[in-house]
This record gives sequence, structure tokens and C-alpha cells, in this order.
Amino acid sequence: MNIFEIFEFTFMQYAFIAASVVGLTAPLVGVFLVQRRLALLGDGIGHIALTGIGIALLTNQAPIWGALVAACFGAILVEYLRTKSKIAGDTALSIIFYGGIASGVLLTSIGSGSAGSMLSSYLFGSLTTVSSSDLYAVVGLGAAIVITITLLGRQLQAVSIDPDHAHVQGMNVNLISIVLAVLSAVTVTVGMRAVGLLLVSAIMIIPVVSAQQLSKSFFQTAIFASAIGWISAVMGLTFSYYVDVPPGSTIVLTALACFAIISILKTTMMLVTKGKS
Amino acid sequence: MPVTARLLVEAKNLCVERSGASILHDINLEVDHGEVVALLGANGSGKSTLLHALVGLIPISAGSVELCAGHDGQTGIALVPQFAPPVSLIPLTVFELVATGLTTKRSVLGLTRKQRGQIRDAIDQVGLNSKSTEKYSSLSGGQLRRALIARALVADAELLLLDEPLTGLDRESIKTVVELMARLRASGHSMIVVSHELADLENLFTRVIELNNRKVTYDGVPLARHKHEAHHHDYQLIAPDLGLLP
Repeated sequence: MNIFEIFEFTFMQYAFIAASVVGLTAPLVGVFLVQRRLALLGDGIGHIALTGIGIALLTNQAPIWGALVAACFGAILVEYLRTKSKIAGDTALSIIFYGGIASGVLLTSIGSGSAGSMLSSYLFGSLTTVSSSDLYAVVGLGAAIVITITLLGRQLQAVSIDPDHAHVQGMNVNLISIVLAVLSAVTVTVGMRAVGLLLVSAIMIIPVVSAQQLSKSFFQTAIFASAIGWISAVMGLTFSYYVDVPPGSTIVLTALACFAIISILKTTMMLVTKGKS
Repeated sequence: MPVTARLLVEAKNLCVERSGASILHDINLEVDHGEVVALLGANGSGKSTLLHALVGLIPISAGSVELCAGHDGQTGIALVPQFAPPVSLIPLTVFELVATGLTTKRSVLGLTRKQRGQIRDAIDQVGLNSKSTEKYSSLSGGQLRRALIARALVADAELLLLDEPLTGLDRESIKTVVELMARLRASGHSMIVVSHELADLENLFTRVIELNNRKVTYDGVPLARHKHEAHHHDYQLIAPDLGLLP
């Protein structure tokens, strides 16, 4: 078996580039979500993005842009409800999330004419559906994520760690929170093709949880998480090709395997160190 | 930092309500540059609420608050909370925690050399040099309080708001934090300090404001408050003189 044969196919080259972008960038956003205890935000936004795909299919637009608009709208709505609504936060959010996925299934089924395979490719990722125009969009959006974090990283970090202190210093905490929500929406859209809307949130969070076990600082965690995210995406995509299953499942299971290995190694090292002392 | 008489905070007829219940009623308060103000009161008297209302963390139901500190779009105010920020889920070093206090823009490549120097200076001022690269979650209560003060210092704040800075600390840590606050006063920083009692901080304050039953019941110099208190309660508070101030 020639391990490089998978690179001979154009669709796999596209899939690897798309997976690499999501593997590298999703944990950079996830590190702020974990710190703000918003680990499930990406999951909810994924549900809403499906409605955007349905609307795009019905109006003959590119699904990725429909997903992006719906995800950004949903992210801002979720942030508003989370901070302003008098309804219990999780109740308000669940209404949005369930409404999003129900509308998405309905509209996508009508728009595509074949509910099953089309839906599955958006929910769990697909190797063969990354088109060249999708790829440009994914790379462009990935670059936008990196640039935004580079420019606003200090504010995002300050608000994630202590929003009250950030407010007193004069930062616009609401605006920064919306920026984080929109970054999550863009990340969901970037990961839509390679990992799928239902599993993209996992690649934002699991590498961060793995990395924090190895790191001594916030900065280190972000870098390690990005590296673990990339390794998970590339290895998961390779498994997906050979096992012939949706890539979302293999990418997330690879990320979980990384988490398990790091946890076991860390526990073992702690026991050894304890034994020596 | 030169000490000049300049208004930093002005609250007029400030009222705060929560779920229809009045928490603070008709509070009038002015704090000038160079003042070190104690905000005293029993549990539930509204002193922390007042501190948070002054900086907009709690909405006011009537009246107005004007903050006059700061320049270049910065508030010039820093909050030192009673509790550390919720335990950081992501590892965070003392250096990184203090860096979140920086209000100047960092370059695209991260902190500039000048900013790193500012952070190191702030950590040095609170005596935590040796802890700079350690996780802040590993600090003791007193060290944590000092790290939060360093975060306020790096912002170059004119006015520091300290919420119960000595609560939960052991004697040694109390002495260290009080000494640090005395140095801040000597260097011209203004402070509003929420506290249950004067006790260890007696000599630090230029002014005491006491809250009781939603209102200001005393506003004046610390010694006069003793007489006021003795007159009303028939006892005299004897505060230890730590000899921190000339």
C-alpha cells in the first residue's frame, strides 16, 4: 500500500487543505471558549448553520456562504440571549438550537431533493464535497480567524479571564464577546466540509483540553492545541479515506485518542514522580 | 505621580435597586486625586454594590456617576476584586495575568520590550518576581491579592478600587498587603477600599465613608469616626498602629 496515493486525488488534496485549516484554527478559538465556559457554543451554532445551508440550496447559492450568514446571525442572537434574556440561558439557547436544526433538515431536504446523503455530508463531513471554490473560502476564512486573533488576542484573553476587570479598564466587553461568538461561527463554517456541522465543535474543544494538560501558560496552550488539532485532522482524514467513513467521526475520534494518550502519560509521569519522592 | 486636588469620581443621588428592592439610596460621593477612602459597613450594607455601581458593573436606577480619571480613552481605574477571577480553566502564569491589565496596544507580534518591562516592574513592585512564570492558581491568598494589585499597577491606573483586600488572609499576608497599600499611597495612588472594619488599615486612610441601611451614615476623617462611633455605641475602636506611615 502506497501511503502517498491519497495525495494523487485532487479531492483528497482539497480535503487535506480544508482539514488542516480547521485543525489549526479551530483550537485557537476554542481556547477562549473553554476559558469562558462556552464549550458548547460551537455545537449550537452548527445547528443554526444548517438552516443557512437549506436556504442557500433553495435559492441556488453556495451553501458555505448560506452557512456563514446563518451561523453569524445565530452566534450574535445566542450571545444576546445569553447576556440579556430574562429566560433561563440554557432554555433560550436550546429553543434556538432545536429550531435551527429542525428548519435546516426541512429546508435542506426540500432544497436538495435528496435528504439523506446531502444532510449526512453537511452534518458529519465528506471527503468528496470540498470544491475549489469552497477551498478558497475555507482558506480565506481561516486567515480571517488568525488575523482577528492576532489583532484582538489581548482583548479576547482579558475578557475571557476577567470580564469585570476588562469592563472597568474601559474595554467594550459586549463587543468583544460578539467578536468571539462570530469567530466561533466562522470556525464552524470553515470546518463544515471536512468535519461536519455536528462535530466541528469537538475539534474546537478537545485539542484545548488535551493541550492544557501539557502547558504551563495560556499562550503555550493555544500553540499546543493548534498542533494537536492539526495532527487530529490530518490523521483522522487519512483513516477516513482508508476505512471509507465520514471524516468527521475519524477526526474527532483521533482527537479523543490524543486526549486519552496525553492523560495516561501525564498520570503515569505524576505517579512516577510521586514514587521517586 | 503628582498629587493634585482633582476630582476622580463623582456620584450624585445614586440609587441602586435589585428586583424592586432598594439596595442603595441617594448616595452622594466625591473622591479627589490622592485620597485613600475606606468604604465601611456591615455585611449587606451595600458597600461592594456601591463600588461596582461606581464603575458600571451594576446598573444604577437613579442618579449619576461621573468618572474623571484616565486619559487617551482609558478609564484610569483598575479593580482589585475580592476573589481572584474564576479559577482559570486554561493554565495562566502570573506574568500573563498581570499582562491582561495592560491598556496600551501591543504590536502584531505580541508584547513590545517596553510592555514586558512594565509587566516585570509591576510584578517587582508587589514582590512576586520569583513567581512570575508560575501558574497563578498555585499562589497563596496573599500572593494572589498582590498579583491582582500588580495587574492594576500595570494599567497605570490613577484610582484603584480594592474590594475586601484583606479578607481570608493570614497575619503574615495581611502585613505584606497592608505594606504594599501604604507604598501605593505614598506613591500618589488614590484608592477606594471596601472593608468590614478599619482594623489593620486604620493608618492608611485619609477618609472613611460608612454605609448603613442603604445610606451614608458617616463621611469624614478616621479619628473623628472613632468619636462618632464611641458616641453612638459607647465603645472605642483601638486599632493597631503598624507604623507604616510617617
